[in-house]
Amino acid sequence: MHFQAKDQGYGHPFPDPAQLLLLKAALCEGEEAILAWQAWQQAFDLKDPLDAGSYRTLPLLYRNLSRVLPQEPLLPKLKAAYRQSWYRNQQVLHRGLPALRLLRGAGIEVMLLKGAALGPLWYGDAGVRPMADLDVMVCPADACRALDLLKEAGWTPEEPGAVEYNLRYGRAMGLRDAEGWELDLHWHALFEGLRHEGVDLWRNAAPMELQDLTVKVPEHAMMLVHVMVHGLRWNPEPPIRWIPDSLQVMRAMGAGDWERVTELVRAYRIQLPMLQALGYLKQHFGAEVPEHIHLALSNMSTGYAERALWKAQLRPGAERLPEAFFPRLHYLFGVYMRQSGRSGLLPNLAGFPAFLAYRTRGKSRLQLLAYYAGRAWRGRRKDTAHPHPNTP
Amino acid sequence: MFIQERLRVNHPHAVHDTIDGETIIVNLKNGHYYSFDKTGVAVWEVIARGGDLGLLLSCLQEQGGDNAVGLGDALSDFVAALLREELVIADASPSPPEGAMADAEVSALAARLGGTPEPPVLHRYADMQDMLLLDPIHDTDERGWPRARIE
Repeated sequence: MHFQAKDQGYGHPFPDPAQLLLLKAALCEGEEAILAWQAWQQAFDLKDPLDAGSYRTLPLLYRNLSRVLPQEPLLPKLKAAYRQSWYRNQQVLHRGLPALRLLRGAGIEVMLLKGAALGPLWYGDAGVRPMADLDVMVCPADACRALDLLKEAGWTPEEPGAVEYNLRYGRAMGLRDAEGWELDLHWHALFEGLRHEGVDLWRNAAPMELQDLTVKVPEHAMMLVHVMVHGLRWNPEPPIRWIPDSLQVMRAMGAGDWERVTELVRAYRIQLPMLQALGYLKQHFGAEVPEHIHLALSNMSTGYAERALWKAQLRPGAERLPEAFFPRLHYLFGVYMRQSGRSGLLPNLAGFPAFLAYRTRGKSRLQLLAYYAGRAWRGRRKDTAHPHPNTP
Repeated sequence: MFIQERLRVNHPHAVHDTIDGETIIVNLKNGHYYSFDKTGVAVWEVIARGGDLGLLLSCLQEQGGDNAVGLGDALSDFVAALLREELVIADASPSPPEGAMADAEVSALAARLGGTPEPPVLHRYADMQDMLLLDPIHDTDERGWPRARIE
């Protein structure tokens, strides 16, 4: 059997067989890692094109193989990937530091999410977890001010026309500096938490020293919830990094953290992705989840919106153009119901057109009708181009 | 001559790490990337931990004998390059930093390098875009370095 690069598993949050072998080689101990690496090499040539998710695993693979298989002849190539990741991470942090100083100087609390916090604090290694951008979160109440400050300092929103709608319905916005370095400004960690999180998340945040600055990072439980739920949705770049990230966070967690996970899962109504993620890690990586926590999550009830959205999130194309009009509309209605905080079908239906207008960049209702009719037609023609791949 | 000076790493501009016997550094002021191994790593460790560089050289010369001829000049050139690239700067403080590397640690570090210490070489990689866009699997040699582009 020979795996093909970018096969049907491409983009899916759960690894295909080749990705799973690579992850095992990068994460497991001793013989298990070596066997996985050998199996991967038998099935795949490192010189063939790698999907982006596998590529981002190489620094971690280097660190693990240099420990368990130091005579591996491909180690220098893998070390090159590590060096590049280390270098890029340093640059991403360096380019983002003035923005952090600006926000802190204006009295705005900032919290680092994803790689900027995971690398130094959870992995204890600046190169093993590649970063494409700096993810910074502020309180929802500070989002407008933070955005204005960053814009004044030369950071440009990637979608200038969508700022107003994003602040209302979104959770984050991508910005670029003059040289193209990226910073994601978040005001919510998860779009599932738009109506649920706030001060509580900040109260439990931990401090992190970054040169002359003190910033915040999520507590263990929030970091786990974030990497899992954020990672468990279809993405053009296979988001399989949620697996090493989650395992790394879980290694640091104690009993109290698991209780907090339960609390967060209940508040955000994210038991479906969390149960599936934890089950996957247990099955494939032997991750230990306290039995009573698993039971507590299993016993939580789920609503229509959670079920519909979870099902849709795992569909290839859920974040891109619809393969068909109604499944897309169904997905968006699920997203809206999660975000609206309204109960009942009628109030949600009443607010849905405004949300659709957000997703279609503020078009009028007539334009909206034409827009969706056009997209339905293009969807039928299997057109897959869409400029908005990763913002639910 | 630089061997007798007290030096320190040029924080926060110079960020460094040592991975499996290789020290990697980025100068964030200009984006240049640097690398060295073996004797260079020992020199860097002594500087980074506030140790006595002169003692390191003495130990290496003593244990190297004839193999260490010219090592003083090589170390001096290496340190001069670190200064020129602003990876280290003169440390103007009157005494070594608290917790500085003890002489015994410096001697032990020298001993680990053995009797034939290689002259340290500072590899510099000055094209940031190339570094970021490099395909580490296909564009590197068997040692994992884009050798043709290294200065």
